[in-house]
Amino acid sequence: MSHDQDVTRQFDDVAERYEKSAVHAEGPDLALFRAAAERLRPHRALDVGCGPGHVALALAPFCAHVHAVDASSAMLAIAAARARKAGHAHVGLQEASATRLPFADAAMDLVTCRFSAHHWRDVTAGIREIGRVLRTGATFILTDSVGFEDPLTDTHLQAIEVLRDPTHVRNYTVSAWMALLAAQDLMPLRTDHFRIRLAFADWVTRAKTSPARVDAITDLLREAPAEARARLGVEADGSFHLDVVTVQCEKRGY
Amino acid sequence: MDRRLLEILVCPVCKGPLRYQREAGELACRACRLAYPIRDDIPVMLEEEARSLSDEDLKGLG
Repeated sequence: MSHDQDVTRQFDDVAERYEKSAVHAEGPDLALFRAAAERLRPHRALDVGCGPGHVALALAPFCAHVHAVDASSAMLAIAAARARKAGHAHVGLQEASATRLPFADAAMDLVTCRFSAHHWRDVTAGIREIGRVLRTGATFILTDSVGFEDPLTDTHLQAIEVLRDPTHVRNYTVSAWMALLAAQDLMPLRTDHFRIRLAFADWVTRAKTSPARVDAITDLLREAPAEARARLGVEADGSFHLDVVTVQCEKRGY
Repeated sequence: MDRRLLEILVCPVCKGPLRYQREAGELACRACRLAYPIRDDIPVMLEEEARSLSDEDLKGLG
């Protein structure tokens, strides 16, 4: 099965868990998306990799039109039901891949993407697509968990991430993100850093990680070098900490 | 299908315009000869989910 098919299957299977997840439904960065939309009052906004619609619903009160795309139809069904319940008739959902967005060039006044890019098969293509659909001067807001610049810690993080969820591709480092954004004329205006605690049992349950893989993660974390354990903030039960970045960018003209 | 949505919704493959086929419940791209289904009011804009358009279908697009 291809990566894209794996992603669709994985998230169709666990969609409702992401609706309830505190990391996804709340999270200190979500307020930044809401505040930006309130300030910018975009005519047309797009959330890429919308999952159960946390960002789309946060943006909705401040936008004339909100589009939300995801590759999982189960996620979109939850997002649609939540938008209906909130009375947001101007939230439109489309099933699509981030790397092939079905929108015209420069159609968007705001694009957002939260905790999605680390699943993409081709992140350069995804960010290129986001740059394409943004009009010059428009805003892009990205949140993602980031990799560690220290290779030892980063190798351990990527290993536990892919054991936990086979659709994990990579947490990019902040410096890698800056290069990816700059290459698409997306100029960072503001960067916020967060550190989130992932409760081990919730983290593996949310992804439906198999018992064999849970054991492998537990072993890997327990036997990891002290430097990596310290940077990940590993606790006795396997809970650990992830660095998260929110970057607000402006699309520059050519 | 909202006409304003059709102004900005394009074929994900070629980024060309789409035609809304009300009866079939599809969005058709003439250039790629693909028809994207609309399921539960959600356009499925994925090449692998699209139907190939026959010569007959293309004529029907006008």
